Amino acid sequence: MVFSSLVFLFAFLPAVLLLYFVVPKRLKNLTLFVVSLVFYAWGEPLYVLLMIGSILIAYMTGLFADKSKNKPIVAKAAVILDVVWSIGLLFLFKYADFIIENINSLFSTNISLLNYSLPIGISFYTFQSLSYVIDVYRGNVKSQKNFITLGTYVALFPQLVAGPIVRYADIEKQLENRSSFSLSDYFVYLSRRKKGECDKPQFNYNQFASGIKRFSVGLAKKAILANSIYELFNTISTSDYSQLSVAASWLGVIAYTFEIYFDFSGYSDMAIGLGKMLGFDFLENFNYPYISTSITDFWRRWHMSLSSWFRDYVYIPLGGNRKGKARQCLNIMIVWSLTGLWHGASWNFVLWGVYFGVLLMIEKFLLKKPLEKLPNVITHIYALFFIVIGWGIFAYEDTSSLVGNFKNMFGFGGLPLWNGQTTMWFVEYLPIIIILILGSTPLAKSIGEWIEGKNTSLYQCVLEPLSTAAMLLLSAAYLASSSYNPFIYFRF
Amino acid sequence: MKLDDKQRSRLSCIILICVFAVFLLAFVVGTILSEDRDFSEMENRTLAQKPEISKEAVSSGKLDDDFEEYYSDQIFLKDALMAMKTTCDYAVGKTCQNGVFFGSDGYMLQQYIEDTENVEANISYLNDFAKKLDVDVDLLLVPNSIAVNSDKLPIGAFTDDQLETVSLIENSLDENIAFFNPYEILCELEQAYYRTDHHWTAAAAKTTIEQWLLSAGFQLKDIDYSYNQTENFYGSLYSKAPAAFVKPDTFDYYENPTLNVTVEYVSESSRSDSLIDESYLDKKDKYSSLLGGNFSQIKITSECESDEKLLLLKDSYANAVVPILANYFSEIYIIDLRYFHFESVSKLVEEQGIDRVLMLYNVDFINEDKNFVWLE
Repeated sequence: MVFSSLVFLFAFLPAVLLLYFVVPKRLKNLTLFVVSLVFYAWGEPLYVLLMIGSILIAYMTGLFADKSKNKPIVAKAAVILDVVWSIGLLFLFKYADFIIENINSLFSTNISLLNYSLPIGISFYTFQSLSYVIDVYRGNVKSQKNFITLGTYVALFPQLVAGPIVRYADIEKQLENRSSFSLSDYFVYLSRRKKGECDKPQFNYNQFASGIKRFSVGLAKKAILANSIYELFNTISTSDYSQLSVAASWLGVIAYTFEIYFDFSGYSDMAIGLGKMLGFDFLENFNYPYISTSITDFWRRWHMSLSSWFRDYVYIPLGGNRKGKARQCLNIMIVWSLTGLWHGASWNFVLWGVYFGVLLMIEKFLLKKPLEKLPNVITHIYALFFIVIGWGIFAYEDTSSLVGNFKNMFGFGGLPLWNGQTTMWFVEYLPIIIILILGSTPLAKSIGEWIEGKNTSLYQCVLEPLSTAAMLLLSAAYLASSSYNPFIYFRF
Repeated sequence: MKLDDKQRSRLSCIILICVFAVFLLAFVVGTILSEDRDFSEMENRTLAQKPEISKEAVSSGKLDDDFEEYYSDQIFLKDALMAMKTTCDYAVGKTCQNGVFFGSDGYMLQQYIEDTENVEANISYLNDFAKKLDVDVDLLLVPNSIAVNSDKLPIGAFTDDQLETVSLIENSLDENIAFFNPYEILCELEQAYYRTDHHWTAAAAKTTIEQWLLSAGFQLKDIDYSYNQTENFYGSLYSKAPAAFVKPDTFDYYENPTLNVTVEYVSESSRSDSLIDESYLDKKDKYSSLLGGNFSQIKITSECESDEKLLLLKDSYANAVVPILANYFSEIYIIDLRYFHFESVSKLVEEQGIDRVLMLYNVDFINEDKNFVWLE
């Protein structure tokens, strides 16, 4: 199930919220665990067993990985077991066919493909459970003795299918004790309050309301904006060669650039918002990546939970920058090839990772000082150019359309610079693109804060609820009539 | 009443929570309480029904897709939500949605992209067919609204020129086929096409077919046609791009009330004594009241003073001219190649002693349809 579906919005979510706020506090994790399994099993009835397997392995290896309680060799073995399991799962379900295909074409062999479909969210939940066991081994967190609590962490439906990759350390306390209202506890309180036996359950209005705001923004980003601009990308990338032009090829990649940001950050917003409704505070995953002034800056703002994961669990263990420049370069390339590969079992993703690895190295060793001296406008254009080219690599899994598209973009495809169809696409989508550009900057937020400063009551009690209502209603309208509703990050 | 910061923030939260709760509950309760529809008149398609929960459906994960389809088809206020989306898209400048332009004066115009290969293939099928016959063969090629109303297109609209297709067809047509192009006639009419439907109006159909009759050597009869109108017609283009601001058309047709006809639906083996199926006038798809829609083969016998037999190869545009033609031919055989397969039309011409063949098609149809291959 995805958040931007009507079944989620108008069946699953209301039911879960109702249930969650009725059950007593001590059953909340169990409730979340069960509904998360239902959420997952709804679309992947068999693969849910894989996820339960991952949770079991993480639970047990987590207990053994605790060095303060076990012999070092046992702890190490436990970590290795979990790593083998998690990477093995990814390998089997995500990369095996890719490797077989490459072996077949390299050695002209005929090994048959496994043809397993990709289990949804596998790249996310394996990384989450890995981080937990490794953190236990490192002594950063204590092992979790309650299976339900650990299961809730791994399976938690808001971040299950498309992140953010939440670290166990970040929500450890919230998993065990978070403020969340319970109707049944409230009745218990009412019946016993004269004796003063229990506390009054508190409803955290602020957290729930900010969850609603965040979820609505995310839903609108996905359902209205990302889907609309995806239509343009889809039209251009599937249109006949005779309809295309150089400008249209650029327009297509730019459309994809916006699509992937609004799609993915919208999903993260929804995840964070749902987390808040349930009493969790997840870390941010995006920080206006398209206002970056360098590629280094971009990767500090884009999918932050993934880049920090690779930093902490791959780059630093490999030695990071502590073993000389040559080794650092190697480490950077390893990390970025893996980052690319994480996005999908296809060479274009590897190329995309390597591309950013090389750019980051160039910036680190050559461009750092020059970039600092240049005016922001120039560095911003520089960063955007390479970001957009990056999405050009990312967007096309098959090599011939990837190469063809770049040829078209740089005038080697024999296309006219501009044609009538381009004018139409441009005229039609210009207003949406302007909205997307503004939406990629903190402008709306600043305007909101400015109004809030001028007239707090008007903003908080009228404008904010109204805009939230409008976003929700419009999102429902777009979802109910949209044929374009893919989640790009679903594949990963 | 003056609120302190804490009270105001609490109030703001409560309002937001209410907004969210009302939003979720309205759709949940609305969808549960409203009865499932079988058919959407607006979209002109059957809607998904409640999926059966079987073991296979659950274990394959198909239930997820089925439920989503069911839910999105049966969601509370579905038609209004769709209109809301189209309106919003229009508001941010999308003047072309689903291949339909929002033009000036409330005209919706279907985008035209020439498929030269298909057009040439279709014309060659028509040519081959005409060569087999030794009766008069005419092609009446009707341009669409986008050609006649091209001045109403929005700025930047990208579309091919139908008149180029028309001359391509005219030039590649076999000499056995007489060509009739009503473009000029249609341009002179006040309203040749519906604003929200891809068909032509009663006036356009009547004027065009009478001009064709004249050109084919007939004398126009002095017939007192009844002119009938039905309001609130939201046509097919509206279904493709249902925007809240679109105003409905008035559907109209001509009919000779004194003419006795028998309409025989051959493969359905049913009969009617009227060219108009009035039951459609109360539905959304009002244009289908003409002949009751499209059928593979219809035979019309009329008591008009004529002993000529016409074979009409046609698309839905022709349905509007049949009430006029029925006054000039005692028998009309109507063939719709979309449904008339595996049988020979030329054999029919021979067997029934047809005197004249009229092929009446609109340009969009010749451009897109792939069924001319069945013509033999």
